Amino acid sequence: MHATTGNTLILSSVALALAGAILSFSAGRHNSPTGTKWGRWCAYGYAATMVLANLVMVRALLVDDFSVSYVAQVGSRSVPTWVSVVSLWSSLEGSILFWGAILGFYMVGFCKQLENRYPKFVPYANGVLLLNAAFFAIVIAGPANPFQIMDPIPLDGPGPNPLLQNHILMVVHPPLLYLGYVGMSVPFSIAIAALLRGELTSGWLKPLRYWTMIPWTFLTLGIIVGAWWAYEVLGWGGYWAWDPVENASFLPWLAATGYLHSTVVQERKGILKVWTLTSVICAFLLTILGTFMTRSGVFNSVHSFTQSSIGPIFLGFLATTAIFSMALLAMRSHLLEDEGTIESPLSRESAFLLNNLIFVVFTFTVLIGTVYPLITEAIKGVKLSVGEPYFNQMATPIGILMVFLMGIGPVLPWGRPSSKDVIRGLLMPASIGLLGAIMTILLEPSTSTTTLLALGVCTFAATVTAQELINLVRSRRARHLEPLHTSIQKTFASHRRKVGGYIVHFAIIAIVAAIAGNKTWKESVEASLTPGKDFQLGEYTFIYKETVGESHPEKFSILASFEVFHQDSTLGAMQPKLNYYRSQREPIGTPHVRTIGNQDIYLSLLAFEEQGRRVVVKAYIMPMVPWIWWSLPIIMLGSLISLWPRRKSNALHTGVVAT
Amino acid sequence: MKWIIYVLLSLGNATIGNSAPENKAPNIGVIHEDSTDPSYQIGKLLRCPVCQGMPIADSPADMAQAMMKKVRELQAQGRSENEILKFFTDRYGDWVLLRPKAEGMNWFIWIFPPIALLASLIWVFRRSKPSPMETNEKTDTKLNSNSNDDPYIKAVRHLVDEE
Amino acid sequence: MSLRTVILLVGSAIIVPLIMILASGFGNDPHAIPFVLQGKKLPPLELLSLDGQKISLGGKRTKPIVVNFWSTWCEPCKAEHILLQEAARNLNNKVEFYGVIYQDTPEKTREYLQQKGSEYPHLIDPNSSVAMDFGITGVPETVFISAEGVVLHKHLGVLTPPILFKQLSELVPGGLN
Repeated sequence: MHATTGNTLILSSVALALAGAILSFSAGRHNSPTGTKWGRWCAYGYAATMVLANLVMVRALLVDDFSVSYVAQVGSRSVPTWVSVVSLWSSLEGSILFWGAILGFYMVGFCKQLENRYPKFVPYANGVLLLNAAFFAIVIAGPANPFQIMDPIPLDGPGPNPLLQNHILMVVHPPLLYLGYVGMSVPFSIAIAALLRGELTSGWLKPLRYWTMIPWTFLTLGIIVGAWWAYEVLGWGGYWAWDPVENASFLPWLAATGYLHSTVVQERKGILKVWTLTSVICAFLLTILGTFMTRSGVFNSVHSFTQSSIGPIFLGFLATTAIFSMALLAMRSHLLEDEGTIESPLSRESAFLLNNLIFVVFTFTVLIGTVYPLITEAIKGVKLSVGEPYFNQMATPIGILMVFLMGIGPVLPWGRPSSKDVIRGLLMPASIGLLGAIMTILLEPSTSTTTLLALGVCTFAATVTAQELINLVRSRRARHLEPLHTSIQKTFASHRRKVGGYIVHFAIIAIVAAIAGNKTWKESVEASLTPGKDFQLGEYTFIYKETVGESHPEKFSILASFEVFHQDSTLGAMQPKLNYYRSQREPIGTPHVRTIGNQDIYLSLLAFEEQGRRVVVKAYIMPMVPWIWWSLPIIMLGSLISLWPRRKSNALHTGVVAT
Repeated sequence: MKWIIYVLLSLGNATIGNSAPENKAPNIGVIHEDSTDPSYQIGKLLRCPVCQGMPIADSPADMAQAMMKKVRELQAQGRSENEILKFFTDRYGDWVLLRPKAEGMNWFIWIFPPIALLASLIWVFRRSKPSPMETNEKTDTKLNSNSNDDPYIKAVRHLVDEE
Repeated sequence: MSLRTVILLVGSAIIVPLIMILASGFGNDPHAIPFVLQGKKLPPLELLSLDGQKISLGGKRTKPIVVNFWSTWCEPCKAEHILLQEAARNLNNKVEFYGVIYQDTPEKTREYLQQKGSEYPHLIDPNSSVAMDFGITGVPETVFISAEGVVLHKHLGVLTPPILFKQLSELVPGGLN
């Protein structure tokens, strides 16, 4: 029953998306409001059918309807309810179905927001979105159909990949990441609409920026939560391994971040137009590349789905979209000529341009590193690996340079500043940065030079950012007589984008500082113990008590109990686990992570003997890692400030109310 | 390196119930690692053959542990980092290196990022030059012609200028 | 150069090779690990068997050899063991069979072999160093070496009768019959 309903819904969504695309494009050509309206209704229809299809699948998973192929593949009678729901995105077919639904949500949001605005552009943008939706719907209907009918019907299924059942963050991470990935198709459609229409007015750039900010925020959060999940589950005391699939999520992030910066310059100076549009388009193409990397079976990764036949389809889609976008950009190149120039290498414009170039270099470094094993295999038939040590070596200078520019940029005035102004602006932050580095070396003499440099640059950039925020408030207070909190509130309200951006900068600085600090100050001990024995790490003592087994319907867990002391005071028990799932021989660990101040104690169980006669554990002290997770609310806050709609009076004032 | 008192345990991934491998002499072993431990650093460069792209230094898998032990053993014999890496490439090919050697075709991925960064810097410096008056005029007219037909642009410019 | 030319040149220079590289990956198995010894002479190796005999692998010898890496905690290895027992019983005049105990204790192995029988010697590999010499990536894996001491092939995963038959036919000069 579920299968038939699901297939009917998917086929309707294919039809609606295709019809909507045709209606929208022709409405755009003939400036027909009726056509635009019908196209929009098709988009709503697509969204409704897609969301319903997802609900049907969730229901099938919940009631264990193993006549549906996807349920037979990932469902299981023994898993808890939340795991059944999460199974929706735990494997290839379901994840694409889920993708389709998210695309539906985005389309509804986009259509609703711009319902009566920009009649010249909206139909084209809707058309591109619907075409994209049609592609995914066709993939779901055909090669990756999750609603195939099973015959004979299996009695039970294996359950989803144990790695996904093991931590509650898996409920949050994939949806966030998909909201980021899928959302990039909206700015792509906006950019393509502008190019198709052949007009690049700044008015149209506003929704472009808005609709890039939203997926950018989700993507950022998704990547960080993913790192958090890896840290809490994989048990090796790390959070980022430059795995191909991790890189796949990082690439569109780099492109979108590049866009968010170049758009500032474009709006202000009429330059960097090519950059702006190209980075938006690339962000979308890179999400498709990421999907390909995760699902084609061409890359080896912890996170990738099982091999499947949809690789060539996604590659074809990627190639077509890329070539089409390039041709369109070339056709409209006259629109992309810069209207101004950069007057001084010490200007804000230069800093932005350099920043953009660094984002491009970073993107290519990660991209080339990720595909390089394929290149050597194809050309020389040699199998190679490009992993963490390579990427770390490359990313470190690039990252430091980025944070440095993050500090320099806001100090540099637009246009043609005098060197004196620049030096005056930089003097204080630079001294504080230097002071930060000196303090670090005094407190921790073992710190590596690279970390020292990174921390110094982070302090510098943080000072500049704080100084800029303070200056904004101060310049308002020079003009108005009012209480301080009113000034802050008013300043933030009238400079949402700038303030939001600076707040996000703080979060990024915190992340970079945490990575740099953790790299040198991380310590670990591997110990093999009999009950009652202890080992030491830093100021902490770990005493091994006992090992117990715990039986659950879907797994069997081994818990090793430790008591942890800091100097002489007890910190209580820590219980790292190993989980044996029915479907998998290799156990999956659950390390015990305890945050104390700004460091984590991380205890991971590696092996055990019968009756817990002996265990092997690895304990880590992970300084500064909590900073990475603390950056999550800061990023949310910054993005919310940026995205918060202006008051109605403001909208009226701009003259763009509904017609 | 006094603190490396290492006892390798042939403790496998014990499957439930039947077969946690035994080890007759349960010595208590502790290895301390931090970023200055040379064996750990080498272990970070070697890919674990039974895992998914993980370095042997971080992997709990038996084979990775055995390889880590080999690294420590070779190090204790006074072998250099390159010799140790060669020991493993002789057995697993260049595949085992997580950081490709800078040789032959691999030079490409080594020189691309620094050269691209350098080129970017030079390009930005060369692109930025004081503009003659005439360009400014052109800019203004173009901007105006664009904005006239869209009332929205004024609003946007107003907002942007405000920042 | 006009902006249009730049877009087309740079765009194609990125898109075309990238798509080609990605497409080239379809035939590959991303999990495959190169087998360095393939086609090379096996270096001389000395090991102790479970019953304390010194056994050397490598070098020129009268018969080709088959080296099977296995352990008692590996269920597929146990299934494979039955097949190898059968093969060793029937072909011991043509091929030498050896088992190498991977990440397991002699006691467990001995116990297991006492129950299931042992047609060929099983060698102890403390510290997995022989496994490393053979570039082993997990169990079961089986290496086929000619009488001249040249490594012909490594099979990853469980051997099935047809696979074993095919490999042995290539190994034994003149075939199995």
